[in-house]
Order: sequence, then structure tokens, then C-alpha cells
Amino acid sequence: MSEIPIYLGDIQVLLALILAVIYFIGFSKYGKAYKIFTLYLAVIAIIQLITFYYALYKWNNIFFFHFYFISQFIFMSLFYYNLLKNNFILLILGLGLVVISAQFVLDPTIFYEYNTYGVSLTQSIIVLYAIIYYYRSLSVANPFMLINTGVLLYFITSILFFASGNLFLHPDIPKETKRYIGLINQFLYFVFQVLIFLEWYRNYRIKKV
Amino acid sequence: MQNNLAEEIQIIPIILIGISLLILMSAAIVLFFYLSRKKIVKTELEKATLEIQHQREMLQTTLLTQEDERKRIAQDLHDDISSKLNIVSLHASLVREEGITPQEANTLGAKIAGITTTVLESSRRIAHALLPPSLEKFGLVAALEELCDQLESSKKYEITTVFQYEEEILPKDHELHVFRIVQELINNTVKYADAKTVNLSLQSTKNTLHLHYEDDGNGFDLSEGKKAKGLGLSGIKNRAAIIGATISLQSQPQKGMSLDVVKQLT
Repeated sequence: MSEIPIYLGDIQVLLALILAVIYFIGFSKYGKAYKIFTLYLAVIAIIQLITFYYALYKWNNIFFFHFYFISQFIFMSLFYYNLLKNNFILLILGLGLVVISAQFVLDPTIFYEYNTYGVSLTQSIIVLYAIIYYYRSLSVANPFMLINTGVLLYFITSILFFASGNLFLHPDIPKETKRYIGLINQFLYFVFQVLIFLEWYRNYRIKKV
Repeated sequence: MQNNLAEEIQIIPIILIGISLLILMSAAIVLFFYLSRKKIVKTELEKATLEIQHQREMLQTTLLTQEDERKRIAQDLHDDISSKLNIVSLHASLVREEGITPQEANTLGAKIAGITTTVLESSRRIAHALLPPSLEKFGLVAALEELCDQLESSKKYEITTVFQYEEEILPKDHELHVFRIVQELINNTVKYADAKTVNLSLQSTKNTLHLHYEDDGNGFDLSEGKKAKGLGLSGIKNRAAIIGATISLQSQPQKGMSLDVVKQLT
């Protein structure tokens, strides 16, 4: 049972790479939002690959997490900016980046631990965009509904997971407990990835005529 | 240290419960979204179906009216033009026959001239009914006045008119629709109403255009939709819809009818 998360983790790195590649196939064919999302997938895949490599050698990979959540915030904000067409999103993106930078300047030690406030803030903002996008899609058929569903499912639930991240660095927490909580997170991330795949498969696959 | 650990271990179930609740919450949002969307799409679909049905009915009425109109024109052409031209042709061939005296030829010529005049008159009348030249030449008010004059000349009706309409408030094609509405109303009065008096007014203010038509004839029961359709009211409704006006119709059996067409001018 305890082995499963490790396997699931490996599959996720592989899936992240596959998703980035298949989305790149139609890169020039589809609109801006698609391009931004593809770049997001590529960056996330690279970060995951590096953290995976670090973890293999049991090096501390925690600082990559900052790259992960900040790039996620930037790309997701731009993605929703393209879908919602509201300049307010750019303003919030700017403000969010200022707040996170200020955090790092004021307390450089958080570079070596989970930035719980930063990640909670950025994920909550992205969840808000996803809900607004849902609302806008009630009566009209909009693109990226499956991705939006994935964002809602994964980003809401993972807020608490990442917010409690520092607890997992604590040496006294039993390994089993860490694994179980990690399993939940990985399972949800897997669902997110499957939804991203389905979005591609249903709407952006290059179909042979 | 031990105490601290105990506290943190207690936190774990809280985190687990929290994550479960968040999963539940996000699933609820997703479910809520999909169910609401299904419902909204369903209502919109129903609305669209109704709209299409309405348009289909409108189209059908238009086609029926068109067919009626064609039938009427064909009838008019046949009765008033063709039959008389037949006589002209007959007379003309008689003139060409050998052994005809100049006197007979003169009589035939006079007959031909007489019939030709009535044919000309008929063709003018038919063309006039199709599209009154006064509307084109002198505007809506003149055309309506002419319409009323024709009605009045039958000496059966007492007509009161009020026109306060500045020309070209409405575009030309809309004026034609207004004219047709009045024409249809007068037709109804003549055909069915057995009325004594008719009131017609067309008034425009800064913001609204108001057409009012009233007769004191037989009237009809508004709830009898079929009869109302027979009265060409659907044609009137369609025309009002095209010019972007609203209509309100009042009528009761034996108490006459009145119709108001109001258009907001922007």
C-alpha cells in the first residue's frame, strides 16, 4: 500500500511530460489561451522532472516548489486573463507577485521551507478565476471547461495540502501519515492530469480526415 | 518536544478532515455548475424552439397572404382586363372582315374605344390598389387621406381623421407597413363590421408614433383566435413587429373595435 504513492508520483512526472508534448503538437494552430496553457504544462513538466531527479539522489528539492507555485500563478493568471478578458486579473497578478517578492525580501529563510501563505494566496486566486469562468460559462459554451473543472477540483483541495506542507518537513511526523496525505494529493493531481488529457483528446487532438 | 509532537499529530486528522471537506466542496461546485448549465441550456432550447415556431407561423401567414393576394390579382386581371380585351380583340377582328360598311366600322371603333377606356381605368385601379402612387409621391398622410376619401365616397361611413405626422419620421418601407395596416383595417370594417363611424388618427410626438383606428361596427370576441386570424390581424401583427411597434386591440361583440399601434422613436 505504501508503495503506491511512489509509483503514482513517477507516473505523474511521465504524464506531465506527455501532456506537455501532446499540447505542443497543436501549439501554432490554436489561440492564445491554448498557447499559455501549453507553456504552463511545459514549465511544470520541467520543474517536476528536476524535483524528481533531486529526489532520486535524496537532495533537498524544496526550493523548486517556489518556482512551481510562482510560475503556476503567472501562467494560470495569464490563461484566465485570456479567457475572462478582464484587466483586473493583470492587476491582481502584479499585486500577488509584489506580495510574494516582499515576503522573500522580508524573510529569506522561507526559501528553504514551504511558502504556505504564498501558495494559499495564489491558489485561492486561481480558484476564484475558475469559479468566475464557470459562472460565465453557464449559458454559453466556452472552451477549456474540462481544464477549468480540473483546476477547481485540484486547486481548492491542494490549498490545505500545501498550507500544511511545513508539517511534512518535520522529522517527528510518522512516515505513514505523510504518505497517506501525499497519496490524497497525488490522486487529486492525477485527476487533474486526466482532465487535462481529456480536454486535449476531445477538443484539440489533430484528427485524421 | 514530546508535547509538541502530540499536538502536531492531533493536527493530522484535522488536515485530513479539512482536505476531505474541500474535496466535497469543490465537487459540489462542479456538480452545481453542470446541473445549472443543463437547466439553463434546456430553458434556452425551449425558448429557441418557441421562437422558431413563431417565425414559422409568421412565414406561413406571409405565404398565405401572398397567395391570397396573387389570387385576387389574377381574379382582377381575368375579370376586368382579359375578358374586356377579348371583346376588343373580337371587335377588332370584325373590323378587318370584308364587306363591312363604314358605319358599322365606326360603331365597332367607338365600342373598342369605350372598352379600352374602361380597361385602362381598371388597370389603373388594380395598380393603384397594389401600390398607391400617392404614397410614393405625396407621402403617408396623403395616401391615408386618399384611402379615407375612397371610403367616405361610398357614403356609408362617417369618417373622422386626425393627422399630426411629419413626413419621413419613419423610413419609406415602414410608412408602407403603416399604410397597409390601415388598409387592412378599413378592409375589415368594410367586409365585416357594418359600421357607421370610423375614427383614424396618426400622431407623432418627439418620442412616439401613435396610430389609432376605431369603428363602431359588429366587433368580435377577442378570445376567438381563429376568427381574428381570418381578419388579417396576424398580418397587422407581423407588420407592427417589423416596424418595431406594439399593438393593442380592443373589441367586444356588437361594440366595435379599436386598435392602437405605438412605436417608440429613438
